[in-house]
Amino acid sequence: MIESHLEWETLHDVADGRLDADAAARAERHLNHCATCRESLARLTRLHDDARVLARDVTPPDDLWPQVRASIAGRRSALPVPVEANDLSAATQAVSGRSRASSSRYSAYTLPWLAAAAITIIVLSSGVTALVQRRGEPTLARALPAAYEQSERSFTASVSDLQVLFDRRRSDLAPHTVRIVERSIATIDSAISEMRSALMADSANAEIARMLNASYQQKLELLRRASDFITSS
Amino acid sequence: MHRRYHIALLLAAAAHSLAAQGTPRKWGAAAREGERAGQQNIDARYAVASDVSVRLKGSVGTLRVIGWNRDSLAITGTLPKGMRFESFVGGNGTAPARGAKMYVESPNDELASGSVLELRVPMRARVWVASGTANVEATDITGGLDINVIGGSVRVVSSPRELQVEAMDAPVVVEGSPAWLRVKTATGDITLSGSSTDAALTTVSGTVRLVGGSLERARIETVTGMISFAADFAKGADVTFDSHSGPIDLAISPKATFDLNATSLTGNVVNQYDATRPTPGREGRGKNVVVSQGWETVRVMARTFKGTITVKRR
Repeated sequence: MIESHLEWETLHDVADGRLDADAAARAERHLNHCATCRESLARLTRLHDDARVLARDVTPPDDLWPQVRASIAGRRSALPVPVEANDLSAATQAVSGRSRASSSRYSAYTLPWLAAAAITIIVLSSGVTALVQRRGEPTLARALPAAYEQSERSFTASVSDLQVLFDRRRSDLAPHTVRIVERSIATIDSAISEMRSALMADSANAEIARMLNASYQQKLELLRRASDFITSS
Repeated sequence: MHRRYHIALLLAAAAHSLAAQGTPRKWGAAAREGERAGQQNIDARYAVASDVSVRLKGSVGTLRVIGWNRDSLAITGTLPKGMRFESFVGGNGTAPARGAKMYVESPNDELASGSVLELRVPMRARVWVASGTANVEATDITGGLDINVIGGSVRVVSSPRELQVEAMDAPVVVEGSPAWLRVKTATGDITLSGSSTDAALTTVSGTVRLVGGSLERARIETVTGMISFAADFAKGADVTFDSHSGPIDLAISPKATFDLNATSLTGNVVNQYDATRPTPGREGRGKNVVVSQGWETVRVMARTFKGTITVKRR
């Protein structure tokens, strides 16, 4: 009597060693005389072995992102859905979109090919995700909002005037005072730099713009005070 | 005869008045009696208006400004030899002076650190002090105080109508309730133990502490410095706490009525005041919490870029 083939789930459980003793003995009896199921099990076991040797943490090389971006840009025209430059999910979909586009040919692939394709997609997706996470901001094009740029130009002009005065006459102040001013300016500059980056990544965030303005104001105020001490000394 | 006598008297008075107007009076050069080796004593007193404007500029180690209930100005103290003290008293000589200006000169800061001056002024006076490194203490002034120092320390134990302090690394302590208060430092800590109807406290990396008293309109701002609030909100208050990365600790009375909006754009918000749970901010980053208690309109904003805001009961 010819038994029906083993269930797909049962084959996976055999490969994973998750069957109890009775079920495992039944499966083994079937596998002893069924070449088709033995072949399926062998493929599954190979896939498991291949997956096991993959690194758990996939960190792409530093120069991978330009290649991925170029690849995405090259594919944009071919995609049915437009990919926004600053849309990470769209970019990720673009990478994995190829498998969707090929879904009609799914039945033509054998299991090893499917496994290899799946592994490739996982590696690429993980690479993109890791790269984006490491860079911190899901943005391809970064710029300050146009309305803010004008405000920043005005601040930086005032700051640079006072900075010139401070630099020119710093020798009139005690070295200790100069150190305090410079340390405080460095602290504010660091805050400005962080908030500028955040505003570039989230240009609609009025709260960051307001905080950035406040930091510029602090810097202006500090330089004004230092200048006052210079002129009154 | 009588008429000629009156004219002579008038001319003499006018001449005296002209001579007295804007006359510089050098105290340091005309060193007072009691001068000891290595030091010169300062001791001078003048009749001034109750709202006299007094300016003192220069290098002083220790300066005590004391308001008293008299319409006169007195400056006493000791200066190391090599320092110079000068003053100019305004007015026409027939009435109490409405302005006084004093200069203290020192060849270097080290010598100046040994100087001690005590300036007594009418309580309602307006006093302006500018010095390099100085320990300034002001008490019992109800008029106005404007203190500018780089280092040293500033302590104000009074409730002037207006108080402005600008410093670099000097810690500033205010024990009183100035109606209008402005304090700015670079690295110096700021402590307010008292109330204010209009306060702005700003520092780059110093700590701001608000202990006791109540605030009406106030803006507290740091870049990396900590803000610690353990005071009250006045009726109708509008108070803002801002920091780039410094922690903001708000200890609020359980009896207070207020609407608090606390936001950390990329950092954390911890609410230990009530059961309201902070929610994630834009794109899942940062935290925000809104805590409301009572019906009065008291608006409190706490904002930070990446610091932690903690709200708790006092």
